[in-house]
Amino acid sequence: MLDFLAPSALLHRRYHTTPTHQSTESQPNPKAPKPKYFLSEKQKEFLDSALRVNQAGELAATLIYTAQTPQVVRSHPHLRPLMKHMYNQEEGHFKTFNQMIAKHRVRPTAMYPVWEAAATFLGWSTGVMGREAAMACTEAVETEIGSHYNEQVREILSWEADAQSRGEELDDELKEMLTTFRRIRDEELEHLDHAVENDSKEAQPYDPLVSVIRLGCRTAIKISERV
Amino acid sequence: MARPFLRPLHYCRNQIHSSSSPSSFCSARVFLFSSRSVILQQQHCLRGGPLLSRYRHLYHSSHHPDTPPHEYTNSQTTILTAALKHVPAHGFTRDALTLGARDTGFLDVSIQLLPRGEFDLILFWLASRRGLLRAAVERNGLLRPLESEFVSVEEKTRTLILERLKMNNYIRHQWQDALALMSLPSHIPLSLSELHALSSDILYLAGDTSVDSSWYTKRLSVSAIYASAEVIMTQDSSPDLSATEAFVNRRIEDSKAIGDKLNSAKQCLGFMGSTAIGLGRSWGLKI
Repeated sequence: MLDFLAPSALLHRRYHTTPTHQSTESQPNPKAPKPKYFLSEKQKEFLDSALRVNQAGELAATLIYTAQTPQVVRSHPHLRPLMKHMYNQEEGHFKTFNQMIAKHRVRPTAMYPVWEAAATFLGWSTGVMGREAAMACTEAVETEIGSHYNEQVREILSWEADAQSRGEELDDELKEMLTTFRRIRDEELEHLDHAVENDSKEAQPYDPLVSVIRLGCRTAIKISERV
Repeated sequence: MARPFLRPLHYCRNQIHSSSSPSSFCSARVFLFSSRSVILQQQHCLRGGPLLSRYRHLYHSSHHPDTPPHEYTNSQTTILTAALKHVPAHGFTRDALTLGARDTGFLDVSIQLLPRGEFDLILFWLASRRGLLRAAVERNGLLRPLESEFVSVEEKTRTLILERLKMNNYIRHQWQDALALMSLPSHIPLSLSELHALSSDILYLAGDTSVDSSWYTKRLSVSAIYASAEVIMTQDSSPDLSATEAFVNRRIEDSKAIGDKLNSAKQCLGFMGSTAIGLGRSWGLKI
C-alpha cells in the first residue's frame, strides 16, 4: 500500500513467494474449463474447523459403538450384525476424515484425548443401562451429527451457487468433499432410523437422557471448532 | 562493534537538491512530507493488527495457492532483503536496515515503514528462510535422494532441521543478539508462532501424517530440538557445524527413545485394562 514510496525502478519488480497459477487461466476461451472458484480466508477457516469437528465426531462415534457393542450384543445377540454394520460405517468415515485432515494440513483438535475418554464413557454407560438407552444415545448423537453435516452441505452448496453466478466452478476436491459429506450424512441418518426401529423411544428416562447427550454433542462441536 | 558511518538525513536531502531540477526538488519535498503522515497512519494501524501472526494453519489444498510465508508489502520486502546483506557486518540492527534502505534507493526515513524495527528484520529472516526451505524441497528436490519407503519421517525431519540450521551459518555470530531480542516479553508471541510455523512446515515436508494428539507432541519436539540447536550453534566453533549436527542427532535419538517408552507404557496399560474387563465379563459382571 505504500509502494509509491519506492523508486520507479523498483515498482516494476514483483515479489512472488509462490508461483501464480491464475495468469494462464484468465484468457476467455469458450472451450476451456471454467475458472476455479477462489476460496476466501473465511471460507478456508470454515473448512478448517468443519474438517476438525467431523474428524472428532467420527472418532467419538467409533469409540461409542466399540464400548456399547459387548453389553448390547450379550443380552440381545440378534443385534450383532446391526452393531457391526454401524461400527464399520463409522470406521470408514473416520478413515476418510483422517485422510482429509492430513491432506489439507488441518490441525486435529487439541481435545483429542478428552473426547476419547468422554466417548468411551458415554458408550459404556449407555450400554450398561440397556439396549433402549444405547439406542437412545445413538439417536441423540446421530440427530446432532446429521444436522451438523446438513449445515456444512448447505454452506458448500451456497459457495457453489456463488461460483455459478460468477461463471466459475468449484475445484474437484470441493466437489468430491460435497458428495462425501452428503453420503456420510445419509448414512448417519440411516443409523438414526435403525435406533428408532430398535425402541430407542422406550428408554427410561428418555427425555433427560436424550437432551443431556444432545447438549453434550453441541458443546463438543463448539469446542472442537475452535481448539 | 563499531557503529558504521551513517550519513545524516539532511545530506540526502541536499543530494536530491543538487542532483535534480528545482521542480523535482519541490516534488521530492512534498513526497517526503506526504509520506511521513502516511507512515504515521500506517504505524498506527500496524500496531492494531500484527503483521505476521496471521500465518495460521488454515485449509491447504493443491487447487488453492498457499499463503506466502510473510505478509510484508513490496517496498518493505525490498528494504528487508537488501538489509539482510548487511547483517553479517552490522547484526540485526537499525544500521543494517538503514544501509539496506539506502542500497535500494529509499530515503533513510523509510525504515519507519517497519514499525518493529530490528525485530521486523529478524522476523523477515525467519519467515524468508522458512520459505526457502519449502522451495528447496518442492522445487530443488532436497529430499529426492531420500524418497523411498525405507527412509523414515524422522530421518527426513533430521535432514530438514540440519538444512535450516545451515542457512543460519553465515549470520551465526550475530544470532545470539537476535535470540536475545526475540526473547523480550513483547516479542515472544510472534517468535513462538514463527517457530511453530517452521516446525509445522518441516513435519509436513518430511511427510508426517499424524492426525491425533501426536500432531502436537511432534511439533513440540521438533520446535524444542530446533530452538536448542540454534543456541548450541552460536557457540559451535567447528567449521562444518559437526558439533551442532552431533547435538541434533543426539536430541532426535532422545526424543525417539522417550516416545518409544511412552508408547510401550501405554500399550502395557491398555493390555492390563482390557484383560481386567475381559476377566470381569467372564465372571458375569455387567460391564
